[in-house]
Amino acid sequence: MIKIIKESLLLLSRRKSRVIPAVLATATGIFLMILISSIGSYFTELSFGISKFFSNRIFLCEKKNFWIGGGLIPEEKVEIISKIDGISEFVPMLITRMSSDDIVVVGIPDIVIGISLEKANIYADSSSIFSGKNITNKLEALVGWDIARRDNLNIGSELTLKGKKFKVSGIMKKTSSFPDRQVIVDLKTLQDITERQNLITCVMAIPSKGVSFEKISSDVKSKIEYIKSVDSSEIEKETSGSLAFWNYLTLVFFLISGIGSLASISAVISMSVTERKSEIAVKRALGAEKKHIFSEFFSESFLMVVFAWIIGVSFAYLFVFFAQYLPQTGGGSIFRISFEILILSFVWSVLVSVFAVWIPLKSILSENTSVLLRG
Amino acid sequence: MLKGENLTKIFQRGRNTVNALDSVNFCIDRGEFVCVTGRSGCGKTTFLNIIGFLDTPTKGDLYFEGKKLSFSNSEDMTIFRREHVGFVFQKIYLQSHLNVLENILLPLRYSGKNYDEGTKKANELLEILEISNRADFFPNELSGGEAQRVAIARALINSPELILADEPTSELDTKSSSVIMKLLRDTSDKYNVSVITVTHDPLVLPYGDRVLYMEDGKFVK
Repeated sequence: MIKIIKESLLLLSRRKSRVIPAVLATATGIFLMILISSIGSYFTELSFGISKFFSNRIFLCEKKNFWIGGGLIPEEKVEIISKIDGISEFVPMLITRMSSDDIVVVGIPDIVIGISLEKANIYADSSSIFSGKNITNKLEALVGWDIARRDNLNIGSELTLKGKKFKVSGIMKKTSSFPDRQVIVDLKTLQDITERQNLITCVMAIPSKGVSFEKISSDVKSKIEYIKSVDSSEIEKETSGSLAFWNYLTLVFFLISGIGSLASISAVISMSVTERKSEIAVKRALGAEKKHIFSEFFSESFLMVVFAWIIGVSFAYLFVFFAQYLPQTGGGSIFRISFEILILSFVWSVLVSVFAVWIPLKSILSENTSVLLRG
Repeated sequence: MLKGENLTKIFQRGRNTVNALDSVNFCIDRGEFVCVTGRSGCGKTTFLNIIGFLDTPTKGDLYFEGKKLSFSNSEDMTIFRREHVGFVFQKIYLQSHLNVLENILLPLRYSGKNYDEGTKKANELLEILEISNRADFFPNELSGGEAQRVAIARALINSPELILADEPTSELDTKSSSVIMKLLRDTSDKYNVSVITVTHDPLVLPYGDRVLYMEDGKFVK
């Protein structure tokens, strides 16, 4: 086996004028397949993360505006919410976007959440903190995983939000959901710097043991008419349209990447077989059995695919690395190159190449050697 | 050594049925040098392809060392070719990505014979054919005559009993042609190998022990 691979490597290196373009064309197919699949992977991860994030909490927001930066509630109304039976903990929050509002963000936008210092541990307890600690003073910030990675923030780093400097006290664990793209600071400080004194966006409530989300929702509905509750089912309802769209798009992306790579890899590899018809004919005439020809071509195409895969993966990682710095992405990335994608892309490429070799080769070898020699 | 009985090859060319070989009978002895000649399209190459196991006859039998050969399995035909037949083609067909020595050794890759012994023999052949200084050259660096000598060495590497040469001099100048024919003749004598060469070239015929003339798929004299 090693001997065959060594020989194949030598022969490929001697035919580099033909092999290099073929490898690059195959690598392009693999690159696109990985990139397109990684978009699908991002949305799958996002949808899973959102469900997980909302599994044990409920958000009480201004009725007409659900999303962040929408409706505002006077802070004194929190008292009414706190009196609703079945709520064990409640956390008033002011939520605002980190960047200016005119940037269109694909995926989750970066947000700043203001939470009072004494309630910060309820929103993000110690188990959700990767390193450092929660905020304990007015000029500290707890930073989400993606933002910390992107902006190269560590414990003690300085972070400027809306013109005010904060010191990073901790970094949250990766959740693949909203917390990855958020910064938590003191509520009063955020109200001051955004000029929203005594205003909040929503209240996060954690139900008491045995109390259902539905009960709290109906109590809220009956007691405070301008407040609505948002739980995982509500989120699903609110986002179902866009998630369904993204799911369809993801499916289309997967199909495009699969078919596109199938077409490009099989075309390139098949061509590299059919253009060597006379070489095959001579080898047959000189005594090469079908198994010899198959093993030569399979090992060469396998090596070509391995090289192409390495190039394709490297370019995909480079692309994703640079893509996160594009302002249109809001500083984030909608590409998730997972281990599964790498393995699947490799297996798919090898399988496609096997068929791309096998089909034309079988047809060539079924012909009479004398006919093949005539070309 | 090689005997053919009623070898016939019929095929369709468009709407026409062509009798490329018409009940051909022949017998070739061990070490004999036979030239087959005739006009274009008379069936010479078809004859060579069939006795070289590159093609199957429509009917008729072929015997090698008294044993009837079967055309039913293409892999068996390949193994027979590899073990008993060496080819020298009109278009030479050296592999462009292999150097001279590797081209000569190519049949050994498939026969499983000892590569070191093969390399020793290949070097001997290069000496005999006077191209030992070209061992690591690639085909595009060789003249037509040199390339055909490499093809002869490749045909001899597996020590075949039979060498089949299809117009071996048609792409060479007169001087190279006579060198190649002399080499074929000498190797036939030295290794006691039977050689059957198909040719148009009247200058080739004197090298044969026997000349077979073909016309419309039959030997006429």
